[in-house]
Amino acid sequence: MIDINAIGKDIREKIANARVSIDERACGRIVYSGDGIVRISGLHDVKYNELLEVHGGGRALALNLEEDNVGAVLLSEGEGVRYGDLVYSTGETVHMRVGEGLLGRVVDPLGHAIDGMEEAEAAGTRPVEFPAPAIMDRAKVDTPLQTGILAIDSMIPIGRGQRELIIGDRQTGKTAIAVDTILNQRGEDVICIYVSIGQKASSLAKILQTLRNGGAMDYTCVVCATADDAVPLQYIAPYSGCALAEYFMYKGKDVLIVYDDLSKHAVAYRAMSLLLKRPSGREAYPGDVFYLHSRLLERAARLSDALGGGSITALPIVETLAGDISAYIPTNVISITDGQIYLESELFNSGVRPAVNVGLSVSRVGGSAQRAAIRRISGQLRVNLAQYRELAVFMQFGSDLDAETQKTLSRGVKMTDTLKQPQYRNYTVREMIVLLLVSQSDLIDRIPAKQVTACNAGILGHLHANEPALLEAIDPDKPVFEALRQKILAAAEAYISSVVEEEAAPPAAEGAEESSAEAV
Amino acid sequence: MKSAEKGTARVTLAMQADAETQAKIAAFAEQRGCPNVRYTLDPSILGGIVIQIGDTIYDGSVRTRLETVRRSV
Amino acid sequence: MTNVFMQTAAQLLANPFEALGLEWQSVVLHLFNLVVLTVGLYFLLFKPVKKMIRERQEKIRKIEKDNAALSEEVKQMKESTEQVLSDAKKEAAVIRENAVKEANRRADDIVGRARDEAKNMIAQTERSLGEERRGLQKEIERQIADVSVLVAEKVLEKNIAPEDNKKLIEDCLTEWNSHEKR
Repeated sequence: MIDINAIGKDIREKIANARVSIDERACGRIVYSGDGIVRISGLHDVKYNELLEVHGGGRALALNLEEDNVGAVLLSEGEGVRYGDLVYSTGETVHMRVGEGLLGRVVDPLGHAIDGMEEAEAAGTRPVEFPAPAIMDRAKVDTPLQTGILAIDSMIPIGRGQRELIIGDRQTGKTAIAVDTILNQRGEDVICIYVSIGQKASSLAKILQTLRNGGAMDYTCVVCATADDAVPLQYIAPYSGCALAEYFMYKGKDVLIVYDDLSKHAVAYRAMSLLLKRPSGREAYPGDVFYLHSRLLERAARLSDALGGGSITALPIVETLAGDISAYIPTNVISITDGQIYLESELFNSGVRPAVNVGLSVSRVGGSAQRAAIRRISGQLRVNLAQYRELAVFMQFGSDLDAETQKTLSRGVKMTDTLKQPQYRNYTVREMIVLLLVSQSDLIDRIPAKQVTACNAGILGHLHANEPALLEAIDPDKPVFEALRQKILAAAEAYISSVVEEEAAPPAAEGAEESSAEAV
Repeated sequence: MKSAEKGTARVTLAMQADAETQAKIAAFAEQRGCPNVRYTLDPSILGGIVIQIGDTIYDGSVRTRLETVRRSV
Repeated sequence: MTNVFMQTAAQLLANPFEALGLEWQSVVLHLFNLVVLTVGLYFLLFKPVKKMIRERQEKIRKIEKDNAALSEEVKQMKESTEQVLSDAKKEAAVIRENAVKEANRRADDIVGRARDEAKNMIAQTERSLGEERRGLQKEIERQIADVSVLVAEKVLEKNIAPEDNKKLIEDCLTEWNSHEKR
């Protein structure tokens, strides 16, 4: 299994290729080492963010340039670093290995493979820190990025080149939305990069398994710095992910990048800053924590056609504590991004999944990128849902309701049910149009309450099996014509009647339910 | 760097050098603005020479070369 | 004999009424009677009977007509029933076909997914095997390099000649000097 001759040959080759240079290098000596931080005296001509080489093979990142010493963070373990050790400057900043070969791979923030396979073939390197595209280099966001999630694509549409924050408490399905979105890019010619910052290795393994099983790894690269990696690696992970994304963007490709999650990134940066003895501000974060995220997210853009028309769509994730979106990091990132998807644990626990709070979620630029057919229908949806929510508050007082109000209420419940969607079940655009059409028509009154989800699945199955031509006829980029709308509704009605007739005396049951709801 | 060491080249050798070599080393240091040369003997560098002038280190020791080869494997 | 017969015939010809014992008045009366009877019967009996018969005939004809229409209708109904039946059969066939198609599609999906998963699992195993092999290889290489360097160090420690060392030092100095000049 192991070829001894090959090993010998390998070593001989490597020795022959070894560059034995007797070079002169700028150096300094370590005067302090602790908590992964080293202070170096000397190194007078070092640059900010320069990569340093510690005698013995370790690497460090120069972050504090002071009058008589340099503060640096070790990128590797602090073991073996001793007082008085020599530190050499390398003259270059941190670079990320980039290239098509990294797709389908799991790499660390420097681009080295950590999935156990051979080193990925890189086309080159890119600096991890890179200026964002200038104003004139940008174009308008006008192409949709389909997430495959009805609630998002209909009401919080995301365009390519947009930055949409996913925010919510822990265990509200933030990562699930991001992963579903990546899975939905299959066959869409979008390259995906999933940056995992400070997550547990076990949850990352689960996500990887999901991506592999969904066939998403063909166009996805996972850049990861897990919770047990050195803090500086967690700090540079999103920037290196972005460098990889930029490589593809400047080649004219569309890229989706997920930062999971930026609150852990901020915490890593805070730890680093505190250890470097930088002055701390609100919530003990250093003064430049806003800039930390703004310079990262500004790099997401839609390039003008002159530059190839590529794009980076960023989906940063931020975790809140007890739904507090007015904490420091959430407010910062909310103000940087072009909108947010707000997830609520209350909704999640009451079975509304994805637990999107439609009232607090917005998309500031995605509207112009929405498919025309969906835009036409979803405008109504938002209004209707808002109306329902308003009424639902009144309903809690238990006053007598007239027929009209009851109708609005039952419709609202059913619409909310329509927006529920199991994980890994992404809808195509045409399926979304059908569901929206049905939910906005009078047909929804005929679907028995509490069967909306099953019924919707049934309608789609019915259309797929018996009316494929009708589905094909829908053009997502044009408003749905009245004739087509009638045909779709007729087909849906046929299915609904066949289901409702099978039920034993459904009107009575429905009536009973409604009256009991009223009693509550 | 301590101010006392300013202008001093620190030279590490594996064994005592003869006068001719010492003169060459001194000239080398002089060129880089170091009139003083301080010698240290360190057999662990095996051979060759290491000169440190201010923030710059000139490493021509046999040990470093071996180390480079080993690390490249 | 012949004469008697002849005589009677002549008598008859000469006076037919008398010969037969009839009087012409009664004959006339009988005739008149016949005429009256005929006319009376015609009006009282024949006409209503004829009318009745005509009506009967009419009725029968109508019934016959009705019957024809009815049978036509029955025929039509039969035909349309057949049509509906065949349509329904066709529709059922289409639905069944669609259902089978959909089922096949789903089955293919499931099989494909299972196959993908199996492929992934195999790839994963191969990956981990390769990883182990590469790790082992690297470890061996590292050990070899370490040992070689150790041997070299031991040899050099004792055997490096002062002349060689001097040459080494001077080479270094010249190289650094040439660097500087460039």
